[in-house]
Amino acid sequence: MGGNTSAGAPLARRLRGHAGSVHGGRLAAHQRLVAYGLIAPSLLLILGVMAYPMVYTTFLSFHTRILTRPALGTRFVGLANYLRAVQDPLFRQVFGQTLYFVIASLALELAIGLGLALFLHRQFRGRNVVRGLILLPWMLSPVVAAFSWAWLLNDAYGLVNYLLVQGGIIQAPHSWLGTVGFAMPAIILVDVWRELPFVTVVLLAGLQSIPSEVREAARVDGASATGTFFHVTLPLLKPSILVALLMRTMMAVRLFELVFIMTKGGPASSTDVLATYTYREAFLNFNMGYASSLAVVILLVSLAMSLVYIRTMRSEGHLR
Amino acid sequence: MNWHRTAGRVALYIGVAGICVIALLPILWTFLTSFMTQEEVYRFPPTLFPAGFHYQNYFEIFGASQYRLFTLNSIVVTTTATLITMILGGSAAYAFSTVAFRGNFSLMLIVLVTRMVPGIALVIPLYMVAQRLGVYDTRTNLIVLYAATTLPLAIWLLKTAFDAVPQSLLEAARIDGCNEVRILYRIFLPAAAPGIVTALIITFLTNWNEFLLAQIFTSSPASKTLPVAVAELTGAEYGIHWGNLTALGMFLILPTLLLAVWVQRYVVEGLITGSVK
Repeated sequence: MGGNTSAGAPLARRLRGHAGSVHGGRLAAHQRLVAYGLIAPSLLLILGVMAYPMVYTTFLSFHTRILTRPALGTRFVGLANYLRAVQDPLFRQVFGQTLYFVIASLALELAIGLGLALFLHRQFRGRNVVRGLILLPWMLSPVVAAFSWAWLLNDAYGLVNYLLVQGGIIQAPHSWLGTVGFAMPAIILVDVWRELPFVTVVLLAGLQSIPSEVREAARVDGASATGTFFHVTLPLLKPSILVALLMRTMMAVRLFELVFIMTKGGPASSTDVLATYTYREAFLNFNMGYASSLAVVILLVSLAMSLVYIRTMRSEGHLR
Repeated sequence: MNWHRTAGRVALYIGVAGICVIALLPILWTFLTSFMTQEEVYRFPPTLFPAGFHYQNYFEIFGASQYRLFTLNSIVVTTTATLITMILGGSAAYAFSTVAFRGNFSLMLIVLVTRMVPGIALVIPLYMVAQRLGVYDTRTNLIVLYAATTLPLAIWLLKTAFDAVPQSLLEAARIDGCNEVRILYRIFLPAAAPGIVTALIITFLTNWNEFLLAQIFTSSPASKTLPVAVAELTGAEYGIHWGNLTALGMFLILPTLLLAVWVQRYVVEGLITGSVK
């Protein structure tokens, strides 16, 4: 985690010093002009495609705008869209389910990821190959991950049911994606499968940044293996855990592909989440005002997470 | 003692093998199913291995001109958007990294915050604008959207790579009388090459796998990409043809597999730089 910060910021300062000492202030001013010129195209693209839509979505969320009824125009309705959301039982269900998804998948990813990171931190032959292989689920197209797991979980022909029945764990094949109460856990497990590599790699990097002397010193002082883990390794790993949690929360609140392909939000809306609900309102019902208020909810959660993230990075000295 | 150690080793490798099987299972299943007939797929108990290599699925998919078009769209959109991101992002990151100008930090903050913005929060205005400008269902529109949404992370990864280039290297070249442009191409960029490759791969994969924007902004073979085509096959009205679906899916997996084998360490690097550094 460390390392790059010491080599980082001084570059700019030294470059400025170089220009100033040799050629005087005029070149420094010229350099700044070039810098703005280099950044301008990126900034315009980011502002046009990301910043402007964020502002306009927020604006729309206080208006009624139905694309299939253009005669209505864009009418200001104050907080009506948000009130409608709060009063809508489906929205409350969807919000709760999103929360359930985020908390359950994060808890599992963190617990399993930590175990996996500790496991892969050990020395063994072929370790690098394994570290490469476990990245595959994360690099894989979510669309492919969704349909292949949907088939593996199929009630009549799926491998999962076959193995569970053969192993005597269940009596008869079960329709995991077709039963309320089982569909969401199934999606959570597929998401854990997909995102575990990310959490593991971040935690592994954290583990590798802990000098081995620290743990050895604890062992020499008579600490047990579990004692060393809870009192030395875990506290030192805290920044990595926090980063993994924040990044994953931001990604989890926007869950879309898995639900869209595996269950379409069913059965009985039991796997519907904020992003799929917003998508339906916007692009099937063309209810842009109401959909915008839902998008703003997702946006606010993400922005809150990113502010905490940036603060963490700053306090860790990674951002100046 | 020795027996203990051997048992430990064996347990370790069983664990490793288990992890690998679970990580690879869906990919392996997709690969094997793409060579199966429809009867083989619907067989119980399920067969993992096809009776023989049945290439028909690939011929069926790529005999249909629309699937060739979807593949072409994916290639054109992904490579063009990735190139734009790398060129624009590289320029911006170079400026952020080497020039101390007014507003450097606050502009970098804008980049960091936009990186976290979920696509679903942007698509409503973007859809309305695309309709008004008449660019809905065009590759150009998708290219612009992809270039913009991958820029923030690319700038961050490239800035980190540029920050790590040792200043002494550049100083030495200057003393030798090298001009700044030559220094940039001969010394600076080669020194930052691993970081540049990392940003390139992460950007490419993000664009190649992207689904939400493609699903919303494309509707005909004029611009539809592979992920949308695959998703459509999964929702087929008269039962899913798994052989065709998995054959098409293999084309979506292919770049990932190649990249995972060749350049996984860059991906690991990017993942870490993108989050903890």
